[in-house]
Amino acid sequence: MLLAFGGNATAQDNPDFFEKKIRPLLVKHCLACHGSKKQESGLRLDTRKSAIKGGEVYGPAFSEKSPSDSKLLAVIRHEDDITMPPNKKLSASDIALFEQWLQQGAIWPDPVEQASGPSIAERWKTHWAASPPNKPRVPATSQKEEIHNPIDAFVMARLEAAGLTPSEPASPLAIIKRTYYTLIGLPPPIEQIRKFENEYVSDPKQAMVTLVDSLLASEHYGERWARHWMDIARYADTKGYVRLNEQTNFYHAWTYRDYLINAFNNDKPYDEFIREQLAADLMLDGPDNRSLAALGFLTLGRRFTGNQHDIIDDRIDVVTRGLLGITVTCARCHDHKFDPIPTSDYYALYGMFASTSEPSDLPQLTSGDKPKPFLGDLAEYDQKRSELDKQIVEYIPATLDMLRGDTTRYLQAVLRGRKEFLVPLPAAKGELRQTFVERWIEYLEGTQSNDHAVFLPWHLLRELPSDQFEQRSKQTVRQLSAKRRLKLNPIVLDTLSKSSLTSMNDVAIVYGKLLEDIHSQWQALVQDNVALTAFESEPKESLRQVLYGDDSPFAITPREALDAYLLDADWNMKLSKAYLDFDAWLASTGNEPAKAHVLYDSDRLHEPHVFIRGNPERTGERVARAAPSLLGKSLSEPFTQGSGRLELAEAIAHPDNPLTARVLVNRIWTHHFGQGLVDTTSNFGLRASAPSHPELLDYLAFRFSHEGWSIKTLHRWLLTSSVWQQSSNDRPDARQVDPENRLLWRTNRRRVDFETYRDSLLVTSGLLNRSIGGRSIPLDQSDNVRRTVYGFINRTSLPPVLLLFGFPTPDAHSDGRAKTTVPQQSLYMMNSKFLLDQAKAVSDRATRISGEGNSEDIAHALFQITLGRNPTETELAQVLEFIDSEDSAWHYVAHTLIQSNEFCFID
Amino acid sequence: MLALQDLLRANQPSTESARHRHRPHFPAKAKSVIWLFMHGAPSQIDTWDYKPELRKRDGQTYDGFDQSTGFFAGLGGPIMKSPFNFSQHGETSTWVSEIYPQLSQHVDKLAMIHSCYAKENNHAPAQIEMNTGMARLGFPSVGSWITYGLGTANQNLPGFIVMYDAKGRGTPKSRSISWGSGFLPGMYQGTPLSNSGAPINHLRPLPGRSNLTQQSQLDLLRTLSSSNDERTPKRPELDARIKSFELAYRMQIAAPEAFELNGETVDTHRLYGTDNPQCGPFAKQALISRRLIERGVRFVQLFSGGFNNEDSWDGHTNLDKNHRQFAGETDQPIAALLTDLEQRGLLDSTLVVCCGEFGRLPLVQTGGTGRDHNPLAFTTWMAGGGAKSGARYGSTDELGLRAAENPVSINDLHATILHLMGLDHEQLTFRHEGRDIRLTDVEGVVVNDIVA
Repeated sequence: MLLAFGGNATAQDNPDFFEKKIRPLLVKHCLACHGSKKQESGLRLDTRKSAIKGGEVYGPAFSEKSPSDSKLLAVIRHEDDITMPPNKKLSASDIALFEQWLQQGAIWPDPVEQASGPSIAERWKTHWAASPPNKPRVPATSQKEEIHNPIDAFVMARLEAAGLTPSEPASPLAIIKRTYYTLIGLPPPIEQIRKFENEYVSDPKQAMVTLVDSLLASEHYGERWARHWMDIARYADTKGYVRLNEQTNFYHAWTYRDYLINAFNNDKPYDEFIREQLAADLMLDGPDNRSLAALGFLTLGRRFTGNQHDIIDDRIDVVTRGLLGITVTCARCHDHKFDPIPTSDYYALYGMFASTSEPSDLPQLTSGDKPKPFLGDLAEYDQKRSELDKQIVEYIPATLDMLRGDTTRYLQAVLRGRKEFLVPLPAAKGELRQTFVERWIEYLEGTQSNDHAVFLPWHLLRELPSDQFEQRSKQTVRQLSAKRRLKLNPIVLDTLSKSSLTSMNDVAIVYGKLLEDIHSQWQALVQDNVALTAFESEPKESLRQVLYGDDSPFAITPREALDAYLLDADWNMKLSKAYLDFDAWLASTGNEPAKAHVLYDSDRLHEPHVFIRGNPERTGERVARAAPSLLGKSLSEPFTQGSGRLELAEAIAHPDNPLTARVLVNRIWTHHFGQGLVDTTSNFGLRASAPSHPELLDYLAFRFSHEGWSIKTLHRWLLTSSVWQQSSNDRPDARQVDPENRLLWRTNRRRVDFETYRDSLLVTSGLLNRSIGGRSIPLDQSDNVRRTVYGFINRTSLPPVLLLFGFPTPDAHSDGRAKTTVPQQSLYMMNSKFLLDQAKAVSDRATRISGEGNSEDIAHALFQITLGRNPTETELAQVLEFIDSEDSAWHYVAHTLIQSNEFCFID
Repeated sequence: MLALQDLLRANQPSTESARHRHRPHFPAKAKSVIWLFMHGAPSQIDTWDYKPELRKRDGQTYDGFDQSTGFFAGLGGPIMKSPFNFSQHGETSTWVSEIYPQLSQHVDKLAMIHSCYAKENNHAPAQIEMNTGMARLGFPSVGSWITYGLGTANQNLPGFIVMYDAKGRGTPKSRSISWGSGFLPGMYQGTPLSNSGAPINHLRPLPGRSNLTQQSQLDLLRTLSSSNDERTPKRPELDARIKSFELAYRMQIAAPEAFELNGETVDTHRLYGTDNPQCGPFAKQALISRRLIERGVRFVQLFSGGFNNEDSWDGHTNLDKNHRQFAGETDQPIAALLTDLEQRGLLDSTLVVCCGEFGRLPLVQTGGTGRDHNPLAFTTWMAGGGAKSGARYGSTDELGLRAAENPVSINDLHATILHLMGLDHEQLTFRHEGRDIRLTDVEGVVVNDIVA
């Protein structure tokens, strides 16, 4: 079948010839002028019917009865008066394809009728994830023993219906191991195994409750589950490709990671967790601002060399796939093909993010104490800081003075208005800084509301129609001069009335010259007397305030000036370097106070348009900032508060939201059981796979969202079920009925992820540093014995070992991990120094534990440490033979044990 | 105990690779690809696309030139002739620049497309476009698609191997994205060889551990995995892992052998120029490439030129010096590779592709004697593997600024390469985020005129 599609496919033996060979040519060469949009000479070539009907001028493209009698062919062969395509002839082989096609009857399948079947919107109405979950009745089943809680009832009912029975419970050893791994990502200590085994024998239910509770109380629980969330949040410590001279590190990304660890450990209700990650800045109450770190969820994505559209796209993606399980970013260029997500929904969220901005100077996290610049030796800090300050003093005041002296040009530029999608770039000497024009515009907007002494005339003059400007401007200035009570600046009025004003440009020149003049006067004055703080003359002082006041466009921090590329390009380069060096030094000390990568609502909100085909230069309909419309009318009302982030968070974290709780419950389920109730964990749209247990999903989602959004409670429900305790052993009879174990007749066996593997090695070798939280450190640093979650994640250059073991690239939200088995993984285990170092530490530990006993004792200790059990007779015999052989050593046995399937699989 | 020889003979695909179909859509000559990536972008008009008009109009301004074409907007100066002499070669009388004294002897073998164009005008995005079809992150590279489509013919070696700059001048600007597997499973990503020491990470056993010890370890590993065999008749996930250990064990032997050049004859070394200080490093990589495809590796990609502008073909300031240097590093090795493949009867089944990420402008870049980037036109050549010897397709305008006749997009180029490998670019898909995604997105037309 496939062979027929190949290079020698013919029109006759396959109607797809048209789709594969001819339609692409028509699309590429003809349809721009002869398609649905444009029909040059009345000809359309997008259906067979229209081609046969032909154009108004030249008639049919080919004859219906004998297609090979074809005007089209003559035209493309350039054998006719008209020759097409107009610019260049098709290649000989393309023309041959047309010949072949026409000769064989011009088979051209009719367009598929879209209208067959209900529309996307109608199908959504009945979609299983479209309405808020209710609370289904717990089914009754005949299995009594296995029903520990309602989860078991739902699962057993489905098994029963399929004629299946659940598997017997796994061994207590397997159960405690899997529970440890799933909750804290570490293996159980030997004493805990023995204790649990005893408890389980006497009272399995109580033993499970105790075990789960104790693990949920462990601080390591937060580390494990923060890492799961970091996959969702595409966490990294670097930005990917950045703007010119921009810092590539997120030096404070770790504060978001620590926020996550704490949130999980404190069982922060999931609705609150969502609100903080989208809008912590809008919820602050009191001096404690530590929740700001939560905003890393939005900010820690890639930076796309500063392209705002892509940055926003990434944020829309992390919010919608991450929290709602819908793929909104498909609607950036066109309405979603499968789900009811029109482009207007995308741009409603676009508008929300475009109404936010990130400060150049990050806020310091504090529980209420006064912020400190440095936590270490202040003298050292001051010395480094003074090196940076020297550069700041060299470049910043001179830059601002240069801009003050250029005020006329900036006011003229103000008249041309904003540039809607500004991508700032370094500017050459004398080049206009559009970012600074924007600052002037913002400043002038701020002077509109009250009768501003300097700028009221400006605003009134701007309202005049340009064709009557000259005449009416005189009148306006005269009237203003008469109104003494307005207390307008006399210098401004005087100069305006003496000038000939034919347009606003003249007004800009008047203001510009006045201000530039004030600037020169002031410069001259302070040169003689540095201590001066103001002009004596009040009118002059009020003009000076425009250039030097606290709310003037020139009131800007050095870092903001740098980020806005106000400095000449060469200065920008130098000062950027000074900042990069300083930041790198600060980070290297580990003594920089914790800060947060935040974003805030902008003063000016963005009123979004749809961009046609995603192109910002082609604006379509205007839309309101709002949550996606498929959430239902009441949850997608236009936002009214600032950017709308908090309103979006409320809509997502609402019990009536049909998606949020289902998506989260399914994620947790997937982590525990190795397979979701819904396979597509980040896509709950119409193309999602149907849930294996829809009622169970709804039951859990309902209780979760109506009983306090507690993730720890959810864990308790899942892990105290009897389903959780089933053995993973294969049963051929059951496998025949349900080969993929969708009905959960056994536990899925799976390999531990890399973090769990590395962390387990460190536990087994006894080398793990168990402290919680702190700055990220490189994974390949030889003395790094912290948990893997603290590893520094460089997006553009992930540690190869992470890639090897299926760690998701943090380019975008990840909905799961690749489960590949490749020989390079085995090579790593066989030959990496890290593994061998661990093996040596493990065998040392075993030798110590066995009290320097005989070989048999050491072997027992090794098995206990690594696998939590004693060796079988066969295993023991083989180990003893191995240790007696030439060049052998105990650490080679240990090395083998930590590579073994039993060590690497959750059984 | 399973003997080493048994292990080396075992050649079963792992369960992972068995999941994909791994066979062509239709019969094709090419079984493997060697892609020679001239990093930094060689100038088409100073290599393969001869433009006598440049000499005539040398020094004249180019009216109507769009200054935003290159990377440095505003730095496009007057027209600059090629600093190199051109002469005709072969039965095809092909004009070739003097910087290719040896490759010019092979022109009759080459199928050239003079009308390639790219969408991006900066290195990293353009390299990503050339290697993945999209100037965005997250998409699989051509090598990943092809190993995904065809699998590998040697289970002892990775199917897709990358060697970047031979002189240690760093990775391409696009870094590992150029050989990433995007949303395809990680096993299809390119394996980059490091320049120093073991070419594959962790290939060599740590010192002190004997072969016997390794074998005992493998035996113990097998015993440990089978101890509860009776209760679990079917456990593919465990068996796959044991198999991968056996494979890794074999790779320790197979891979160093593949990279070891001592067994090559003196004549072969001389042919490639492995001892020549200028071209030796690239020559060794070219020779390793041949050894790899000989051993069934599916896709080998070589990069000439490193990370920084001056360390690659990126001749912004002094094109003469830059191109002479990089042609000097690659001319003999590439010519030797073609000769060698042909002599061994491997050229028919090996598709050799050579290109950069875009071309260069026919103008001088203000402030020097170099040329700025030009995404509007560049030349790609292919040889062997079902490419039509001596074919010339498409052309640029009289100055070589823009692809004029039969423009070929990168999607078209990819469609053609897949076609030569027996893969239909519209059928080679992977389901990702609810969509069947292709290397060529929704475009791509096979350039049939260069298919033999």
